[in-house]
Amino acid sequence: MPSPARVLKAKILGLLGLAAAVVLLGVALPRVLPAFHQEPLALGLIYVVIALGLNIVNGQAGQFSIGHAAFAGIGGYTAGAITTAFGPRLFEWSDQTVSLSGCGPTLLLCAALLTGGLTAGLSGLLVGMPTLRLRGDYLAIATLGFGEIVRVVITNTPALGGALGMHGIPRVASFPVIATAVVLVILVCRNIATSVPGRCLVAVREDEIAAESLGISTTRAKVSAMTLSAGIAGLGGGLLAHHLGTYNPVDCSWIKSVEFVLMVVLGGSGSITGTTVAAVFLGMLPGEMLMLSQFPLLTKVTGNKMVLYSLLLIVLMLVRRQGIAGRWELSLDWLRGLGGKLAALLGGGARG
Amino acid sequence: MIFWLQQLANGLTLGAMFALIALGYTMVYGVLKLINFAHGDVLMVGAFVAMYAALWADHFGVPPYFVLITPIAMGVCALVGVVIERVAYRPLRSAPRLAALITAIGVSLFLESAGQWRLGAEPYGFPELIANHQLAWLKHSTGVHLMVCDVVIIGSTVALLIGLQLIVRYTRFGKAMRAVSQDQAAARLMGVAVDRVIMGTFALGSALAAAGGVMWGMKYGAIDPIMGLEPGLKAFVAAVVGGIGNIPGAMAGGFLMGIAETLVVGINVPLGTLWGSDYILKGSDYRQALGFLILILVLLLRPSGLFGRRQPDKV
Amino acid sequence: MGPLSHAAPPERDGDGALLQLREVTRMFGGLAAVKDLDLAVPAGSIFGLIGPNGAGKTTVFNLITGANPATSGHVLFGDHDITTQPAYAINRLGVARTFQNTRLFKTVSVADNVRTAASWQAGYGWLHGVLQGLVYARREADLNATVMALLEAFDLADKAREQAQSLPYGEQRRLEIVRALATRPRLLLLDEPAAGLNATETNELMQLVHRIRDERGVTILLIEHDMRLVMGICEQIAVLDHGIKISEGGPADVRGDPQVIAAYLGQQEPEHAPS
Repeated sequence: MPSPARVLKAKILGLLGLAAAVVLLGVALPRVLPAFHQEPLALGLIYVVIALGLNIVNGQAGQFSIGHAAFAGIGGYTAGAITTAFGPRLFEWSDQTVSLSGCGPTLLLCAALLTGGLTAGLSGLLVGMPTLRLRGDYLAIATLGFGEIVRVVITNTPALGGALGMHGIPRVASFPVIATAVVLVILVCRNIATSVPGRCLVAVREDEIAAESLGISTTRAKVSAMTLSAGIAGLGGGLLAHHLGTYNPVDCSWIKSVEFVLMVVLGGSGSITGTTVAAVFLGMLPGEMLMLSQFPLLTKVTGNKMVLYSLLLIVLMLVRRQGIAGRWELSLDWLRGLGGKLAALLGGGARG
Repeated sequence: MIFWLQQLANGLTLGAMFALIALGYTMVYGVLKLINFAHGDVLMVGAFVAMYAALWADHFGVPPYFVLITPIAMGVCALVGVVIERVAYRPLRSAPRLAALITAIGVSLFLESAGQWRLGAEPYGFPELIANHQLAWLKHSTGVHLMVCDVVIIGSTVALLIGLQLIVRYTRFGKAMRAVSQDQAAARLMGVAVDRVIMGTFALGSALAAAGGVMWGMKYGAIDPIMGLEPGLKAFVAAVVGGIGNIPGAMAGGFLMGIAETLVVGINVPLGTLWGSDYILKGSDYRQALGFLILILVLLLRPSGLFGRRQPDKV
Repeated sequence: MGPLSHAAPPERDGDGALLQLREVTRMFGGLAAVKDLDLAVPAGSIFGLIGPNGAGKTTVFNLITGANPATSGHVLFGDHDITTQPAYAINRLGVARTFQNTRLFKTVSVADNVRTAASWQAGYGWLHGVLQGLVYARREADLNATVMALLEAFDLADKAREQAQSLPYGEQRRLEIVRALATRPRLLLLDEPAAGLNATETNELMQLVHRIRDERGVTILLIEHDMRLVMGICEQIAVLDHGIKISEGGPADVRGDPQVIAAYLGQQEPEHAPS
């Protein structure tokens, strides 16, 4: 039976590890990386947040939502509305602000992001409750429909900027902020996967009828998954809004949602590691492609990224449905196993 | 009174096109239990094929008659549908349904984005396939404004619907299709060439969608690579409203959706002053969202549609 | 014992029936799969439900466990009327089941299959799952102990980390029973547990069922076609034919009942017919 002291020690070690990861990702990496790659990486990391949110519902729970860009949008617009409303008044923010100067501004940003996430989570709850008893393809269409309704409503609301989008959002989500969010979200996802709620989601994915017969309320599990998933996507949307300074209703469309679906599917539905890698890769791709403009043939082919993405989706389904990682996760156990194998190899080599 | 007659006329025209497209969804769902996401984009292909065929015909001095161009578009799209089925759906017959759904989304997106890539996003003008003018006598007698193309649309749709019903009811293929819809395994055991039937269903559905696409081009005069999205989704809703898998249901659903949309688009509700500007709730702004709203309502309140049957899960 | 012992202590002696069905009917369209069924399963007994194919036995299971609601009638479990309760709630009250075709979580490990079943008893949810503090550590340790104890008691501990689908068929069926036991039921429904097992495995199954009842006080209700097993371990038997109960009683009574023999004639192979 674990003692409080041991648990506390583990927790402190864990927190130190997290802090180290944040510093590495948010401070060290941008210093080391050439300037050209920074923007794509920032975008890629933000997409990791949204994709990991989607992974909870599509990957772990095995449901199919193609509306997550709308949840991200709800989060982005909400957070942006808060900072554009209070920023100038409290901290003299303008659309030129690019850094957080002190405690107050940081708190405002956190409050905005949190509110965005909560609003998105609430809409996930409202959408999930009635629709999650629908079967696979119908759920997909219902979530697609929800996303489109959100997009149309935003487009027709002049107070939110209408079709031109929301502008003038202070661009305060710099690398440290993004890195903190990414590390936290990965932690949350990992913790869910290794605990009771995560196991219930896996049960729901594998066999709903069996899960119900084992005392798991599948509806409650699915709705909870959708709510949390939407909330995380909303957080990602808030980050996006505060990194780019704008948010456009077009980015709430189902086509944008399919991009996130591709990240989850490509990485491996249910795998946190896989989804993260795929999200970074696909998120950085458009930015990196500018570099490829030296090769005109390549740009011709990759001119329209959706052509590539759609083909990738089809090919993945035909050839490798489980994505790159399948259900595999990077874990301490796996690393230990790898270390053991490496040691055996080296030891054997030295002897022979 | 005139107003309602006009709305009815407009609604029927729109509904006719929805009905044609909805049939493709419902037939494919019947035999494969799959929502063919790419169906709406087949209608776009049909419209473009018709446009190029008309230009070609013109080039060779043949007048591009509706009755000449439409079958060409239908034939090409039947082929397109068969290719899609063969390449993207058949390999996944035994895979979990989610995989086929993702593939369908991929095919749809591919058609749209490839179209935009090669043809650009700007609309193309659709050629004249019939001598289109207003039916003056109708306007004089009842005040209802109707164009020749509207009559052609409704008329040919009815003809195609009758033709489809004849095929489904009285031909061997139709019987085979119905058998496969009910129980694929049993049909196979009975000697039905299931693969051929599925191919034929796709061909038929795609041909009808192509006809819908040609009519859409005729009615609105312009086509573009993402034109299939809206009518495609609305036709899907129509199929669900009628009871997915149910052919007469899809026809009814199509006409219902057409009338519903026509009515909503005409709504203009002044909501007074909000946020400092005169706020008028215009139905037309929310045209795109209407279909989804109806869909979500139907799925929540009566998922089996108007004519469908409830399917309990087997434990 | 900690928070994992939520289920009430099992009753050994039959002071009334643990499970009662009163005039339960289930219609599918115009067809009555089960009609006016009265059943009383005494606590602590091993009760058999038999009948020719299509008699409605699995439907009865589905009615009891909430997988399919009854069209009319009442299902009573202990003091609870579970007729209209959802499936997961019925399990939490103490009814567990296995399925005709095993419904294991195929790509999940053996241990995790059992762990998932015991999870709702760990008594923590999303908050502690995300935070993973002291509560999580303690409850997970308890959970682990319970899971390993179960696996060891039923000879599955050495396969704990293997995928459920990689187990040989007989062990898969055993795993499904163990998984159901992890929910600490008072009543365990076994749907054709001996299907596909050879004679040796069937003997082991009979011993297993006895163990479960004797050591853990779980009442057993089972559907079976293997008459040797049914006559061997069931203390009471009810016979269904076309959704109607045609006979009930001890093994000897049922074996000799002419109505039962008539119902089975021509339905089964000679070695399985009531002898």
